Formats: sequence, structure tokens, C-alpha cells
Amino acid sequence: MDGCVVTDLVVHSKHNCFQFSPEQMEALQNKGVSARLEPGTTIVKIRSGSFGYRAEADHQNEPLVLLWIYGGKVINQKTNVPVNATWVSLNGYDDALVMEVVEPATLCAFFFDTYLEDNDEELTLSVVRI
Amino acid sequence: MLPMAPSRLSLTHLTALTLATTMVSSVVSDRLTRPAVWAQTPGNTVQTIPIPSSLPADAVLSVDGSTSMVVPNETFKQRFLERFPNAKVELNASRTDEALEALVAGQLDVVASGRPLTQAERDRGLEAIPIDREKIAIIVGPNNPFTGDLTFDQFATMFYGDITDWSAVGGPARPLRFVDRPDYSDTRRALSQYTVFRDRPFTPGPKTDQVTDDTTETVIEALGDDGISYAVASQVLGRNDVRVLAMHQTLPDDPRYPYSQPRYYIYNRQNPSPEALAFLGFVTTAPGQEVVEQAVATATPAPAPTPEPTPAMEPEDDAVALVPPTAETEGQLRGRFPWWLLLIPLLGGLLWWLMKSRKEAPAPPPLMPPAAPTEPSRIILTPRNCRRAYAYWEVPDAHRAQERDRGGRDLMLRLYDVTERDVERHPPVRIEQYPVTENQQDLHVPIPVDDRDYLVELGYVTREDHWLPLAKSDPVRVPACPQVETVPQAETMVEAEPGLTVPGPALGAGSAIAGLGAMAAAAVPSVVVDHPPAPIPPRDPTTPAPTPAPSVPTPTPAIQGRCSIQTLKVHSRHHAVLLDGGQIHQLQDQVAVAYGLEPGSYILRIKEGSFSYGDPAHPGEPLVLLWIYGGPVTNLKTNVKVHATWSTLNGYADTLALEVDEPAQLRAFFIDTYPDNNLGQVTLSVVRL
Repeated sequence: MDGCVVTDLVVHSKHNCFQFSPEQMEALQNKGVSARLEPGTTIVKIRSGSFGYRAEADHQNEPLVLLWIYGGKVINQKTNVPVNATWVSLNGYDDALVMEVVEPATLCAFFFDTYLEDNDEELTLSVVRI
Repeated sequence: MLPMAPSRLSLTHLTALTLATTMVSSVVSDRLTRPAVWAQTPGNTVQTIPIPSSLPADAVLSVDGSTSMVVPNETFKQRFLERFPNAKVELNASRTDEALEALVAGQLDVVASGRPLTQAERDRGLEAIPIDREKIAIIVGPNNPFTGDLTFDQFATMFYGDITDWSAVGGPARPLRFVDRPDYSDTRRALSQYTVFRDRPFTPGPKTDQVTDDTTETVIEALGDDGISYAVASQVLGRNDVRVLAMHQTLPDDPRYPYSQPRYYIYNRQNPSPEALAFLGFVTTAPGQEVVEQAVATATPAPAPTPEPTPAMEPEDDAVALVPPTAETEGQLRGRFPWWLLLIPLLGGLLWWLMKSRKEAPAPPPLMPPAAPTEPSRIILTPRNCRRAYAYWEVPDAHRAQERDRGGRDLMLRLYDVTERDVERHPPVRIEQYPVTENQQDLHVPIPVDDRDYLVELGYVTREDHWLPLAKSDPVRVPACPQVETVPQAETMVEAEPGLTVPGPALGAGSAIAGLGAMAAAAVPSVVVDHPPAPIPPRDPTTPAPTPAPSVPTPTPAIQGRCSIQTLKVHSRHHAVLLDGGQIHQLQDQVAVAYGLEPGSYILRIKEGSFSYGDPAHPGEPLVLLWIYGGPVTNLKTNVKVHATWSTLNGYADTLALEVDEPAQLRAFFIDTYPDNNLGQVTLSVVRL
């Protein structure tokens, strides 16, 4: 591993927390696309589409979406921790969120952007409950 | 339009509020903003209590008791009815003393109580099962001009009528009116047990407005703009018709908040009804982990004497800060649950405890060793499944104070991997450290690798980063996760939707949840959704309405077979959350942890730690959000070269592989509306290859 450099960054739950006002959080939940999650095993994947920032001339769109899951209790199998709220990104068509919905929750899919007017892509998510 | 949330709400509470205000179901279910929590101390790890597979066709469960138990009653009712849909459940909330009389008379199955049993009540054959304590919130009306913080002494002085004006506690010069609950109220009784009320008779001041109905609704109506009162937190948090005051600068959703009341479910141990035992099975079992007892299909348990629990089996009160000592709670320890139900597995565990050898593996879950006055501190670790273990500890204040005097500052729980390691001769390998609060007594610990031996140690970290241990557990073996068998597709794949195939066994109704989850994980690569859009169904009223936009979100459930598929279209403009330039600069320059990425290949992963929104009922989650800009960079999961991208890392095994073509910036952060009560930190390893 010659040349391998490891840097540890400590991300603190309070000091490095981006604070949204309740109004902003409410707006996020209203702005994103919402789906009700019922108890059971749920798999979320990007089925098609992509998202891109057009700030650069050579931009390419990327299959990417952010997910905010709240209002119930879920266990993301990657963390195996039951939580009332969590964030997940899906990056790529092979990326999947597999979660156990313990108590009904809401999934909210959205993007972050600083300028919306030039956005015109659409991405399709599949939420599969088995 | 959703109501505005109070300013001091964490994300979880805010979202719970949002949901609660959009729900159209009953008022009570609206307030299920907090998960029900069950007995968690090792002495009452009664989650193994079997739930009968069936009940008589005419089964009727009757529960009555304290109004402070309305929320957990409703939660357990829902779980009960999910398992026994043909049963009837009659829930009432009157008063505990009268309900106990009805229980003795055979007119009730279970009493929901906000106080422990007296010795006289226990002598009549009643048994109490504790669930977690509930915080007592101090409340005022939403338009009350006082917005400050109180001490418990000040609150007590208000109760006694010695403070009658808000100016005495820093508020405006306006009359103050104490609104008290009825004498029989369990919450009132819990309040009276605190030391601050011990020096004087618990008699309210002459101008106290005492309501006659022990419901929080009545109390809130009586508050007006000048009143102050109290209620169990779950009945007032997240409401906009009442405001919760901070006590000692903490709110009830903060684990450090010191005031609480005990809660119990009480049954008649001499003649328990099948419905009572079934209900208590849910009380003692976390959701999703119900154990069904096939052998009691008719749920007619033979009355059996309740053996006196051994000290090793003795349940102990769920410890919460400043829990008032009472003779009753001490006496309560003499017996709680029909331990004969647990006797067989416990005896096995006890034998193991007595005969165990340190090198024996795999190790069964240990029992708490008998408490002895000379054994000051102790901790146990119990595997719950292949991915999670439960740590519980007891450390006397004197021991803590001694270590704090030596410089101990931050209380931590450390997880060690001791697989094939003689810890007497070689120090164990620390793999994780969790911050815990002084009031905390347990923690669900994520297990990074299954089929290995672990132990935990509680201790203080000093300012110089030295470790001062308080208690160390014995090693336990975490079992291996079930292996997922590869099943030939031709024989077992179920066609649930054109293009979607999932393994047949995963759809079986009898699949254990863990197995189902594992199968689901294994099924992910094979899930290929390719089907025509389904008709748009009526919108779920409990889902926050999306903002109207030219392209309306179209959740499209298409249930076929036993799978449900929703297709969500996420538009890059209509469903993008706008961050203004100031916000993004604040994120990049002030909030997030910053790291410059030079051209090259990188692997990012969470090395240790976790993040929590401060909910004491849940352990933290290993999670972090990442914003990467500059570049271009390529996330190898998308294989697209971009100048800006977002990602999360979820769990210790999750990695982000990046190719950085030109210098870029990495920012790592969390998001919350009220970060002050967040817990934990995450160490993110950035490996440049």
C-alpha cells in the first residue's frame, strides 16, 4: 500500500450540523416527492433518469437522488439501527436502499440545488415492498 | 397548510409533528410521535415471553387505568390487533385505584398504571410489569408571555403558592396561576415523590386551580395565558396548543431532562386471563420481534405459582435521572412477572454463568450476576441478533464521582473485539466508542462483524484522552447471520410484476423478519423494475402533500402477487430544494468538515461513531452526508464525471469510491433543525490510494 494516505475527519453531530429552520424542513418535505412506507421490507432503487448541475459547459447528468425518511421507524440494512429519521443517497442504477419498515414512515425524494430554472431532467425511483 | 413548528424541535420531532397534524385518524394516534418503548433492563428482559398464536374467538381485552398511559395503550392495542384481528380491545383511561379494584374483581384484564403497586395491592395477587419511565413536562399556554427556563425548586415554589407572579422567575409582572391535577392522578403522585416536595406536605397553594378530570386536555384548557401545570411528555410534545418549558435548560426530549414518572402494566397473577398474557407478551416484546408460542394455541395458561425471583433474575427499575426513591419501588422489586415462563432458559443461562470458562465459545448471553453491596459497578452485554447487542450497566454515583475526581470527563462505552484473544494477557482491540450520558443505563450497540466475540467497557475519557474504566463486561459471542441460500430461479422465483422477480421464500408469510431482510438484500441485484405506469391512486392522507407543480408526483402503487411497487418521478426543478448562495457558503465554509481532494483515487468510509438526533430510545446510526464539488470527480457507483455531487455513507461497510481528476472539495455534515440535542460523532476515513 505504498503511497496510501489515510486521513480521518471527525464529523460532530452538533458542530458540523447544517441547521435547517422548521420552515425549511417543512418545505423540503413538501417539495420532495413523498411515498408512504408500510411495515415490511422495502427496496428503493433508481429505475431510470438522472440529475445534473448545468453550471459547467461539459456537465453530465448523474443518476443521483437524496432521500429523507421520517415519521416512523425504519432500519436501513446498511446500518442495522432502528431510527425515526435518516438520510440516504442513491448513486447509480445499481445502488439500492434496503430497509425494514418497522412502523409506517414517509420517504421523501429530492435534490438540492442553488438555481432551479435550468433544471429539466426527471429521475424515476422504484419503491418495492416485498 | 401545516402548522408552524415550535422553534426548539429536532428533526424527528418536527417531522412527527408534521405527520401528526396531517393525520386524520384519532387524536390519540395522532400523538404517537414517539415510539413505544418497553422494559429494557436485564432483569426484565421479558421480550422472550411468548405470545399465543391464537386467542379464543370471543376474546375481549379490557384495559383501564391512568390517563398518563393513553399513548402506550394505543400503541400496544394496535400491535395486539394486528396479531389478533378478531379480538376486541376495550381501552379506557379513568383512574388507577378504581381500575385496580376492577382488576381484582375480574372485571378487567390489565391495568395501565402510572405508579407502582403498594404492598397491600401486591398482597392481593397483583403483579406489575414496568415499562420505561415517561418524562413529566412542565407546560404553559401557547400565549403565556413567560419564555424562560425554570428550576425544579421554582416549580415547587409555584405549586406551594409561594410564587404568584411571573416576575419572580424572570418573566413579566403578571399573576401566575398553578393548575393542578386531581389528587388521584398518577402523574401528580409521581411529582410528589421528588425530594423538593419532601420537606413540606404536598399541598398546593390556596389559589391553585385544581381540575377535577385527570386528562391533559382538561389541564391544557385550564392553562389560559397565566397558568402553569404538568403532563406526561408524550401528550404535549409537538402540539401547538400548549408550550413545554425547559427545566434546568433541558426539554423533555433531552435524555438529560431529569423528571419522570414510572409506568406499569398490572395484571392479576393469580388468575391471568389469556387476553392479559397475550397483551403482556406485546408489552415485553419490541415490534417486529414477537415470539409466537405455538404450544399455547388456545391461550389457556394453567395458573402457576410465581416463584420468588432470584437476585439474578430480579428486574430493576428503568433508571432515569433523579428518580425519586420510594418504599414502594423498593418493595416492587420483590416480584413482577410470571417468571415461571422464563425459568427454563434462565436456568440454562444461570448454569452457564456459574460454570462458564472465559475461553468457551460461542458464549450464550450472560445473566446479570447477583447484586452485592460489595460489587460497586457492573455491566453486561447481551447479543440480540447478529447485528446488534444490548449493553446494560449499573455504576453507583460514588464510583463515578471517584473517577471524575481523577479527571474523568466524558462517559463512554467502548466495544472491543476479543475473538480468539486472551484479554487477561493481551489488551482487546477497541473497535468503537459511544458517548453516553450520565443518566443513561443502557445502549443498543451495533455489531460490525457477526460470528465474533465482543465485550464492552464503560469508563471516562479524561481531557488528556486517558481511559478510566468503570466496568467491563464478560465476552459474549455474537451469532453468525443466517446464510442466504441461492435458490434456482426456475423453481422458486415469483413473478410479481413484469420484470420484477424476487426470491420465492422471501415472500412466504412465515418468513422471519431477519431472514426476510437478508433475502431482500440478496434480492436487490435481481430486482429489475420495468413495467408500465399504473393508475394513480388516491393520495394517502397521512403523507405530507407535495408542492403542486406542473409535474405532480405520481406515487403509483401496483400491487400484484405479494409485491407492492410504487414509481416516483423526481423532477430536477419541481422537486429540488433551493439552497441560496448564503446557505451553501455557510455549509461549505462554516458548518461542514472540509477536506481538499487532490487528483487521485479515493475510498471514503465511516471508520467509527454514530449520529443521533438525541432520541434516548434509539442508538445512533453510522451515517454522514457528503457534498463534493470542484473537480471533476467521478463516483464509481454512477461512473459519471461531474463537478458537484451528493452522497451519504450509511453503515460501516458502506464506501464511496471517487476518482478525482482535478482538485475538488469534500464537505461532511449532518442536517437538523435543532442540533443542540444531537448526540455522537462520526469519524470519516478518507483513503487516498
